[in-house]
Amino acid sequence: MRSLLLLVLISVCWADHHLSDSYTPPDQDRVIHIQAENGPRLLVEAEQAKVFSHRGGNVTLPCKFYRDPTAFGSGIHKIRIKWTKLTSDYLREVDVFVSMGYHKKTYGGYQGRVFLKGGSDNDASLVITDLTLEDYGRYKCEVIEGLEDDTAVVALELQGVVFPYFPRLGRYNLNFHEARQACLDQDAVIASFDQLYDAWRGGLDWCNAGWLSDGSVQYPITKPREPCGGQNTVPGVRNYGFWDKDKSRYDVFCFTSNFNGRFYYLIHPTKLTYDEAVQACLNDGAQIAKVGQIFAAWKLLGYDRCDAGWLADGSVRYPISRPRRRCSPTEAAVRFVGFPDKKHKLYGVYCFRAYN
Amino acid sequence: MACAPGALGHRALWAVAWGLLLLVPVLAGAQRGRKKVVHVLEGESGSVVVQTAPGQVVSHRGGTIVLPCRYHYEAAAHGHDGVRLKWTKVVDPLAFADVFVALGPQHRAFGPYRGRAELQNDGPGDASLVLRNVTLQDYGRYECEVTNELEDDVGMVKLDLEGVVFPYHPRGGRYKMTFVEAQRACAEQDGILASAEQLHAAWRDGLDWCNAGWLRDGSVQYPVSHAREPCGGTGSTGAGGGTNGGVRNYGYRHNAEERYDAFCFTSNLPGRVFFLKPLRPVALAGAVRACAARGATVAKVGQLFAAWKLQLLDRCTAGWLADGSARYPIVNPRTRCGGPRPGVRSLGFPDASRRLFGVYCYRAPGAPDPAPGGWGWGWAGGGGWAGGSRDPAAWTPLRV
Repeated sequence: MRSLLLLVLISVCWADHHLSDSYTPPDQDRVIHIQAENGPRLLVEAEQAKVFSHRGGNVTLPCKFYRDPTAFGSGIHKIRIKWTKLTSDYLREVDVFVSMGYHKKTYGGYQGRVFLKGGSDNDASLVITDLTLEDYGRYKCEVIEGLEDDTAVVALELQGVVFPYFPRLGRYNLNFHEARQACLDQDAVIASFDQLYDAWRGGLDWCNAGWLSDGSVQYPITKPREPCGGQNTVPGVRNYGFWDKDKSRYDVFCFTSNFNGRFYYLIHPTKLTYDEAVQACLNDGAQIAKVGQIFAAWKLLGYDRCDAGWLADGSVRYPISRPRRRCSPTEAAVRFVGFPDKKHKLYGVYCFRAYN
Repeated sequence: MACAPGALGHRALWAVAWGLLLLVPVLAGAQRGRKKVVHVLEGESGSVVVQTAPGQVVSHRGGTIVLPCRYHYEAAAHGHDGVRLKWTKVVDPLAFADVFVALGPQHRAFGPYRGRAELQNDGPGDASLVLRNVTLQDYGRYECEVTNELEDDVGMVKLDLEGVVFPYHPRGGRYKMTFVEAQRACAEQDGILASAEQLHAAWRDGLDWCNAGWLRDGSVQYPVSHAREPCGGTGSTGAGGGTNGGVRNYGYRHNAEERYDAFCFTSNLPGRVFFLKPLRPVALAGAVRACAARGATVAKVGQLFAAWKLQLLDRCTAGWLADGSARYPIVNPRTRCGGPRPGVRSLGFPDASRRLFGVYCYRAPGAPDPAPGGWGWGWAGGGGWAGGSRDPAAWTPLRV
């Protein structure tokens, strides 16, 4: 009995030893072996493939490069760093910034808004300030040294909201170019597929096809039913494919983000016609609000008001964050009353006052 | 291979000097490019303009092609590194493969382009790339990037291949392949998964096929020339389009889970496909021996399609192919030969042990042909099947 107990004890000790071996922490230093002849001698990495910000904010697009100092030619050539933005169809790149030694150049709408972070000698990270809706997308960091080069891609995503849109003209009345302009008119931009996909995953269910920035026409279904995505089908983003941008007409999905100002319902003693509403906001030192602004206020600030009010495009809507009886009882949404007769129908009004 | 530092430095200096000499005529002959209006914070360089007209070139497997690219730029204040030329292939919207790079006298070709790619070097401003021994994988879009100090520009050239798209599934039956299996199946039949553009071009040429197949980009589509109920539908389909045909798109699918057929693409055939008619029909194993006796192999499906499309092989007799299917190519439609349209008719995958057909063989170029009379196989006269089998044209072929 005593020898058996001893044997058990030895077994336990051995097991414990074995277990402790298996829990040895992995080596923290990662060694990168670069082949002298065939392997890359210049490595470019983005620590994060995706970064997040919002309109008006700042962001750092990460990018670092590593050189093999023993390689032939290393150090002879100047390092050239080039940042470009990929268009939504990935067929073109828009120049953003380029740097080579002491020479630098910034392009187009990025002038005055971007600079190299310059954290260390091998840091090619780019800081973008005062972000706009158009800044959303994928950026490419390219580093060149002599024959060597490498690239990394970083996606900049903006916090915001996707909303389906059609103007007073009615449904399915926008070609692609008109759709883009319609979004811009409402303080928004035409949404990308990724933005629509995220919105769909967030529950967006919409039964009319709209243009997206890549020229495709799609609509998101979370609750399939007969005229909407089909009975007994699975939820998803339905894709009509790519259509003639001049001749085909659809609605549009717009995207907008944080605004720099105050969105509010104007307390006014009487209900107003459209023109009276516009004037009332002006009298209050503001402007009649755009559709994108009501969606941004609703989604990003939780704005909730059970009063129908005019908006700039002549539509009448009201934002509900807290569903309750007689106020969008079943869902949080920006409720759409329609495009009433501007001269004779009376409603309240939503205004927007920009901070400057 | 190590070089003495002194020798290296000397060569570098010599290279720089030579580069400067080469630069002189370039400067003299350079046209003034279109000036981009940008705010330059520091320094000043000329802008670079790249042209790749005509933007698309056509070749075939085994061919040689020049990808055109020319550049010009204003004189640069600092140019000791010289102009850098870089060719890359667009693998998919966000992925590139290095092809070739040059900077002054230094140049390098990458991976499968080694030994096949070099600069044309046709005078100042020429960045055109000569690509030899073109392969099926070379099809696609190429970028020519020219960099001079801060300035750069990019041009795009599409390399298209003459060839043929064919729908394919192996003996396992329809809708049985994952994406990876489809890639392998095409490769085994001397092809490659077709691109959406290749399928679209085939549809414009009349390809009408009612089963969905994988494409190179991971999407699943099928081409419909004549819309009918199980194939693209009849009547109005709502906003999605009317009764016309089109390339129906299932979209991008879960590559590892879902199963479809494949659309394969193949191109120029370096050798020759011929029909071997035995005195008596043979089983598949006999077909293999018969081809071997003629210094050939049983033809792959892609080879038969290439012979049909590019060499205009026309034969109204079904024969075995390497994958165990039986097919016959019709270029000139005629009575009792597979219907009113040209195509490669398929009889499916008969029992490989049955003595049913002759065989289509493929002989690579340079392979010797043993004595024609050997093994007793020979071209029979114009007679019908010695074994009395039914005329294959009388059977109902699957439409290609």
